[in-house]
Amino acid sequence: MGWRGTFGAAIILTFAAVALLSLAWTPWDVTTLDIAHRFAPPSMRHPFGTDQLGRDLLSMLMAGSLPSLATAGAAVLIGLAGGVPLGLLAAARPGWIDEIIARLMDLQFSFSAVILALLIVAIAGPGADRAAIAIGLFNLPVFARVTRATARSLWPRPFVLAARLAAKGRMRIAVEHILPNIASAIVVQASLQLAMGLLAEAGLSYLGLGVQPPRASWGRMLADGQTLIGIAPLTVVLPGTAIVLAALGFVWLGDALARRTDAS
Amino acid sequence: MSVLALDHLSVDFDGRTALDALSLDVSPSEILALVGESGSGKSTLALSALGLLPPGARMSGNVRIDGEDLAAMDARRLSEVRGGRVGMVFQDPASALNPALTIGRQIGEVLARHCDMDRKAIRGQVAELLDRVGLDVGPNRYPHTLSGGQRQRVAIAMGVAARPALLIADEPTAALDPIAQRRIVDLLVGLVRERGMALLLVTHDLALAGEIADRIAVLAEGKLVEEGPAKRLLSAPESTELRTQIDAARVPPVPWPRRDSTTLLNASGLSRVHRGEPALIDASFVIKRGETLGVVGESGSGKSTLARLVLALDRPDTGTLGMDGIRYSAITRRELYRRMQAVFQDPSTSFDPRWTVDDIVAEPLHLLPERPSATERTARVASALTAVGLPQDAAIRRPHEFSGGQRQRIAIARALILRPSLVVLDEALSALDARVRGEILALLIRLQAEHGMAYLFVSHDIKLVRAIADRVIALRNGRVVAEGDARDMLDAPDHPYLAALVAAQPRLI
Repeated sequence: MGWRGTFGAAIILTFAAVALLSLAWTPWDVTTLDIAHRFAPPSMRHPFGTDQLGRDLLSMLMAGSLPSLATAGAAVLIGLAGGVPLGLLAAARPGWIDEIIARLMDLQFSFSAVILALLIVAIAGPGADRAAIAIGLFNLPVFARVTRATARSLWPRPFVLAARLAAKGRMRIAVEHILPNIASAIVVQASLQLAMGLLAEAGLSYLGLGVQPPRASWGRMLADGQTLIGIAPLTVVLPGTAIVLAALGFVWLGDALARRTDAS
Repeated sequence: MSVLALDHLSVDFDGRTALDALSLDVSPSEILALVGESGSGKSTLALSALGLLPPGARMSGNVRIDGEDLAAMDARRLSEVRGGRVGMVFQDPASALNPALTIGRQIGEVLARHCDMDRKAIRGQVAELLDRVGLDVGPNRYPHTLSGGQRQRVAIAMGVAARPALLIADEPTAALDPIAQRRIVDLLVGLVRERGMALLLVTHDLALAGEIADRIAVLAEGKLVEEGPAKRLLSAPESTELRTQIDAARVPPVPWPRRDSTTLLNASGLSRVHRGEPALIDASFVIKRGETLGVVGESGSGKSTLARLVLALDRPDTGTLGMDGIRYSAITRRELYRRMQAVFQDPSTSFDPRWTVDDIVAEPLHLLPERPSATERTARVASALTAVGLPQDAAIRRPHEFSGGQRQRIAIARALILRPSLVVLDEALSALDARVRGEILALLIRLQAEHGMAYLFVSHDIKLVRAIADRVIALRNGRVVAEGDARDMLDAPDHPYLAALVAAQPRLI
């Protein structure tokens, strides 16, 4: 898999483990404020120090990983659930059905993800679940396109012709023959969209459209810390590093998966 | 001194031996044909002579070009030699040319790099080369506007532009139809003789090798099994390897008495426009029960379109098709495909790579009105596999575990499992080696004798059509230009196009 793939997988597994752990235990409670110890430098009590409200930064990072990863993950699931069937359908039905789906996807792409998120939040109010829906809607055409393009390249293959000579329906062929053979491309795309979703979640939370206080998330931490970068740089550097590392982990993992499927 | 000398050359890829201590010389201005089945190491040999082995290949022994050791050359000297001292022409002209540059520019590039000419001289030389390779198109054309044969001419012009001492041609005609093949071969031989070049021709076509080569070298499993003057080798082969290849190349025609003369498939006035170009124009023909109708023609003549229309994978713009007297439009796909199945050209893409042979062969059982029981299904798959000569344990394996010939047997088993009345064989033998091709051909003929199904045999290989078909139709530019009894038409063609197709095939002595 190469050192990048191994490294990526290790990063993702570590973050996932930390996210699960944070459900049960964090060194300090992140909803308890301790103004007396605000901006504490790293010490034995607070390994990464504290923020402007005296919350333990290590605990904040741990608690913040779950909303960040979960939002990105939910967004990918939404994209998969909507995009893959649409892409399969488009490839199976060349002609006007394909044309309509393809143009709808183009239309969707012409909206910026942030504008779409703003729209959803304006209608439904801010929150992590709504951020996931917004990012998921952005993911949907990405998966639809990848599915459609790879599926289209398989349809003229003789083994698909043979299935047509068995009078199997087009959607049945799409599920029986096409989907298993393009699954690897979709998995690779999913890992890239997870990285993208992580960054998008951070961006939305930064704008105040994602996770709401007092819950922590990496993007939220960035937003809160931005004015303090001169006083307590760690409040910004730590969540920033976590976001970059996790995104890098997904991208490396995706690259390694892509190379493996290319080789086979 | 020899232009190319290989001395105990061994190449292996990840421990798999491709060439095994092989020694071979090419003398100036001789034509040496390198023949062998696929996987015998022919192409590896051609690539190592150019220092073009892919990364991961380990080479030992020694390659000398004009006495100069290839391993001792630096990158600059190597690129001088490639294209300068040694020209090359590859199998697929479509991927050998850069689609973004005009053909004149690409030929000129070779001259600019190797011949130290100014722009005006280059322009003149390009025009001369285009003329010499028989292209009456301007230098400003792009490769995609040319036909396969024309592109191969451009590739040849590039190969000989710098007047190399040796031209290496790796299956230069394999991607072309018979008429274009013949012209390219004539051009290559003419150029080689006229310029005093040596030619190393890599080919699987023994007849072609016998016709043009001075010397033949036979490769099998990376070893040189026999080598000598072409005439002697073909008239008195010593190795069993060469003998089986010669036998396989001489396809024996099998006489086969027809019992039935009722019409099975009826096509009338079929026309189909494909991407704005007429691919098939007003084609009418019938296939009788139990007979084999051969379809011959150049590439682009409409053979594949015809096969797709017959298989109802595509609809004709005008014209009708009928099976057993019932129009396609009045019959369900299930009923149609119970009577008609197909075997396609490429055995490597004919199966879902994730399926087992059992699932693959059983797929047409979907056409039955009722799903067969597990025991019946197993029995049917087993009998289909037996019929095509595959072992029973083949069912649990996956297609990639089989050789090309065995895969084509799997494809035939799939087509036959429901005992259809018609099997469309679309270039079904074209991707196979000569020996395997002979075996599969014999299998097809035996199965037809046993079960009495009709074949629609589409092929650009006249010899094969002659061996299996009862009647033949010839297609040219989408039209049926000749139709008749296979023996009469192919042995003594009276239509000029058919005569050209037949004459274009190299013959074994």
